Amino acid sequence: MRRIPRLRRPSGLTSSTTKLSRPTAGPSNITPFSSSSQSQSQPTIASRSASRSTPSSSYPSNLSRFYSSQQTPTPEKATPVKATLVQEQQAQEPENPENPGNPENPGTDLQFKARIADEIEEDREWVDVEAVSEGPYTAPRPRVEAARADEVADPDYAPASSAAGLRTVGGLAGWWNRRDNWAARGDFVGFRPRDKVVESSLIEAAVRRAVIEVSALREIGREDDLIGVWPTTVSNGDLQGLLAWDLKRAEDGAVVLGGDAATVAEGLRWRDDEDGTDDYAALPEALTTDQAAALSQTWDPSWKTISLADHRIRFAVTKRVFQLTGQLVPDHQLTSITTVQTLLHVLKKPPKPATLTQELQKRHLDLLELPNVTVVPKRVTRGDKEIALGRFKLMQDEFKKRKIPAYGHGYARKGKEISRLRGGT
Amino acid sequence: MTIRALEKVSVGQNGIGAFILQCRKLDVHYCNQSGSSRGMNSFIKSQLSKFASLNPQIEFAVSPRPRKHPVLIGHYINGKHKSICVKNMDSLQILKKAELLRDASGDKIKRVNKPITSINESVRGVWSPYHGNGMAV
Repeated sequence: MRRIPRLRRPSGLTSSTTKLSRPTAGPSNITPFSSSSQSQSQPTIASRSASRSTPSSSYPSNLSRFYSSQQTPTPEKATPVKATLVQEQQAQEPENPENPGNPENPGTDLQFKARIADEIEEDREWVDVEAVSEGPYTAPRPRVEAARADEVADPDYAPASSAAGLRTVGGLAGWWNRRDNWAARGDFVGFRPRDKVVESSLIEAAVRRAVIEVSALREIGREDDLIGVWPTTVSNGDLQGLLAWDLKRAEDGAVVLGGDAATVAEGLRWRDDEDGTDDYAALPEALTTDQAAALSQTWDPSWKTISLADHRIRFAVTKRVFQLTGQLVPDHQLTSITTVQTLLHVLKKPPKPATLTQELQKRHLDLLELPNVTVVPKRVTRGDKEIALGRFKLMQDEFKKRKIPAYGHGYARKGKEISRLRGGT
Repeated sequence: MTIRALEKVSVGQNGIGAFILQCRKLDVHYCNQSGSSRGMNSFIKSQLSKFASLNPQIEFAVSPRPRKHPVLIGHYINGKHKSICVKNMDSLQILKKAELLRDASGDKIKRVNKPITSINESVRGVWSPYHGNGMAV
């Protein structure tokens, strides 16, 4: 999973007024990438990296343990393992006791040595090459290179001539795709919610909530806050209570709220001291489609005639709906939105089908029912034509005779460069 | 006993006695994304079902060809095929092209530069070196 560079805050918003607390991620999830905050937040990692020796100074002494017991003192665990293994090896090969090194049979010897190396490596803890967390991600371990064959002090050491039996070490395949290597606090927090709401009942509920909030702000005279960013976190019960308010349009066009506007307006005030560290834990339960549909039955239909002709009100409502649902009203349609009804008409438009085949399956079934028409959702390839003719079986037989793979190109992988760029081998 | 060939009483032509449509299959290719397929997509949605039900002898194969212009390909019983690129055409223009492919014989297009064509053999017959009185050189 590729990541985009993270932004600290939603663009274009000032820090004093735009602290964001969406249900998905809170404001404290946006962490500036300064070294001071990193060292404060991760003292263990910082101290670990401080105690870590550099790879250039550590790797010869570390890796020489695989090859030699003379150059550096081996760990206490490794020596008895090697000793017991040598004893086992001698017990398993009694026919050649005078030659324990067994130069006539280098393959067996190499496999034996590789097994010893594996045993040692399993016992060993790679404390000194621990992966380091840098900012929003954890960097892979520093590269450690093995000593060259001529630098190994052990005279018995013979480099392997083939890869058979050797253990594969290294590679970064999948490193950047693992979620554990990415800190959740480094995730980009945008104004738009991560998931777009498409259910019409939820969109209607969001519009009603926006209209109530805008009306409440206007009623108590906080019109300057109409263009600000408002928090979205609210409990399910509070939200249902808010949506159940009696919202009406008076004869003179004014909005009549059936509740305390000051309470709602107070909830729309952004608090910079809000602690969002446990936003993931304290995520309120979202409104379900059934709840929204049941609530919408109780609403007075006159609320849809509330005017949005004032451009300040229209902007505040559409902005809030975009923040809550991810539904953005296109610019060219903004001027035609004069009431709540027209706004709902724009927002509740069903999404276009992604492909023509999906549209045919939905709306043009008469074409699919014709006996002389076949509609294929995917491209018809040469292979499909051969299969339809029945010729592909013959081709498979011929492929088998010539030892050619029936599908693909056999050993040649597709997109090798892509896997290399992502850290694979 | 003299052998006499059977006299030909008529020339076989498609439509005399029976008519067999020469077009056997029509491939309809479109793209979901590209704008040049807009007319083709609307043709498939609005015109194709009527056209296909009016021509039950023809097999219609609708399949996408991503990132390609829309194409109509007619396959004929003489083994040949004829393709028409219908990029940027509207659905009625594409319907005309589909009718063209349906009515085509599948033959190669030949140049006709004689004012009269006839299916009857010439009354003068075919010249033969073994017949006649010969010519003194």
